[in-house]
Amino acid sequence: MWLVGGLQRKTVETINSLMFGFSIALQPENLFFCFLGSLLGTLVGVLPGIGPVGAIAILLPITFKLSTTGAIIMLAGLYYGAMYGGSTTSILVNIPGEAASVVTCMDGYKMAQQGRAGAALGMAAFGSFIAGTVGVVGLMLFALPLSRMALKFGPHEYFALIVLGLTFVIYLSHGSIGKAIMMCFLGLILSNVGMDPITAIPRMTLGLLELNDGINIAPVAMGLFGVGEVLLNLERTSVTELIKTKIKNLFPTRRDWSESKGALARGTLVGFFLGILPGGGHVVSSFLAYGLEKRLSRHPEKFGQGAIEGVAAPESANNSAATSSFIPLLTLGIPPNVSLSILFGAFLIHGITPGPFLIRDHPNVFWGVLSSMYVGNVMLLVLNLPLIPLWVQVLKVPDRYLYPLILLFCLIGAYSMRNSTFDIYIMIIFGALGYLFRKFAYEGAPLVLSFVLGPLLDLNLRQALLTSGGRFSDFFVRPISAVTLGLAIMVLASSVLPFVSRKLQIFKKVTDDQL
Amino acid sequence: MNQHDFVSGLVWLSFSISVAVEGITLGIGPFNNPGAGFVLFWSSLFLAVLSFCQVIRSVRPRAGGTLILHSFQDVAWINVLLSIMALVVYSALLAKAGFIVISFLFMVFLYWLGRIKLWVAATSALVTIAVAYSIFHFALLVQFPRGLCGW
Repeated sequence: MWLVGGLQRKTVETINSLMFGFSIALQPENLFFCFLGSLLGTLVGVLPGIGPVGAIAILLPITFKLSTTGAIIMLAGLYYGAMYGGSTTSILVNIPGEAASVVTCMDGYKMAQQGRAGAALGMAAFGSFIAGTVGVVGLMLFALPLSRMALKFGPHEYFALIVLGLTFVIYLSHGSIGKAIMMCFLGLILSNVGMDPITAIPRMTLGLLELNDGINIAPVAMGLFGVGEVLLNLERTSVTELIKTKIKNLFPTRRDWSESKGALARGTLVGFFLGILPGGGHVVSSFLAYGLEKRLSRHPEKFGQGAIEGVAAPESANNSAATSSFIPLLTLGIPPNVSLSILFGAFLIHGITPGPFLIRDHPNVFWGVLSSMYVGNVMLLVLNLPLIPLWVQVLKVPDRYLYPLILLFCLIGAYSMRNSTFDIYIMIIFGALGYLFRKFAYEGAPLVLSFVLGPLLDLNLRQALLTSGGRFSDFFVRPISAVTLGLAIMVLASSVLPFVSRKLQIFKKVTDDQL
Repeated sequence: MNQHDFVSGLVWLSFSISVAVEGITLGIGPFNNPGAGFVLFWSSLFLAVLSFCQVIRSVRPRAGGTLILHSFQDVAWINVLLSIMALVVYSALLAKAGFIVISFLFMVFLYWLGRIKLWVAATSALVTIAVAYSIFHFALLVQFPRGLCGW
């Protein structure tokens, strides 16, 4: 009886908070920002070359002039909107608009070649909508208890969570693990530039006053993911070929629905739980959902040949993951991926620290942003289906017009932050570095995530050591930090152990041969 | 030898050594009272160890014969170089020449680099600047430098 009463009270509380959120999200100004974010997100997803990370970074300085809720609503819309748009290029051009749509190419493009582009695009849009909406419901249900639990976290727990986040990003990096770890440490070093928060001593400022406040996240991200990406594309001479097919029948047939319903449900679940984990959740979840469908299918041979489940599963997974990845950001204050680390920067710039106190101190921001996601998902469905011919036209815009425009927006964005050319120089340096990183097979994602989490890691590690009298064993005595660090060690070991075992086998073979 | 890993490893190694020295100068402090250079020093130490390993691995015969030159073959790297130079010149002249003038020249140059006819490039640049100025200056109230000409 007592339990039922408690549950009822909590349900009423949540519904009341949601209604409060809708009263904010449905204000004309916020509706406009939600629409703008969703539209720009779809555009960014459609256009290969510039992903949501670069776009959020470019738009970040513009949001300084907006209200906090409006700014976050717009940037969040851009992030999950890119997941919707990413499928369009995967299906029509066989080039993923962003990383999470890579796997959609396999069956989506085949379907387009078979004259079923409409069904593939329609299923991608509906799947994204269903998964996105389910993801928001999950976010609403999980966020409150998790943020209550996070109130008990101390510096030990926060340090352990940050380490776990960085470990996942390293583990999920595409190339060499060693290089990813190096990028992570480079990010930590760069995050230390500026005034020390405890002793107020300037660190690595090179005598430049502009560096006393540290390096801003926006020019770093704009440089690495905006300018760097454009520079890499400028050296390419190949031309993208658009598939010449008439796009019709965007509404999936009854047979399409019946074939895809399981894939949609499983993709949504896989995406939701993987999205909560730190490190590129939406990218991994799309691959995992595709693999799972192929394994469960009665006709696995159809996968890669134009199976609609091969579109439904990854598209629902990446959208569900994109939404659930807001859970660690909003409740723990730990961004689980690079796009959300820039969003984390946006919160800080607006004077709000995401984390367990967000719901208590800024309920308008939390519930406003959450409710806007319901609205945004509806907008994206409405935007995506009728506007597909427009997105196809957008794909025809030649790169030679597009890239100069992106560079100009980056320049304006960097300048407008502090009305200073110093940030432009920072952006150019990181742009050139971003280009060279790609040439030398280094990844920017671990660098940016550790750059954002660096100040938190520095502060929490030093506070933890101060309070525990310098005992590292305290990290393994406290249950939450012990489990989290144990998980981080396991993740890192799982990526290093195959390498060690390979080396041991070679060593054994050599010694056997010698004997 | 894998030139990519060798050269980049050496760059990171020298960078991490200089950061470690900076960390020591700032003060690492004991574990029970870590100083301002604590995280800086330990991060640079780990980076130094990893870059040293990378340099060693890159010179082994099994590392392959990857040359840096290979990365820049068959690509229009000159476009990249010219674009970076254009960005630097833009930043250097922004305050003196003013936003409208320097942005117009910058856009014309980039469009021209993309093999667009000069008159089309100039017209496109003009339209782009007009739209960008309207959005950022009038709608978002960004204060751009006016330069010597006053616009």
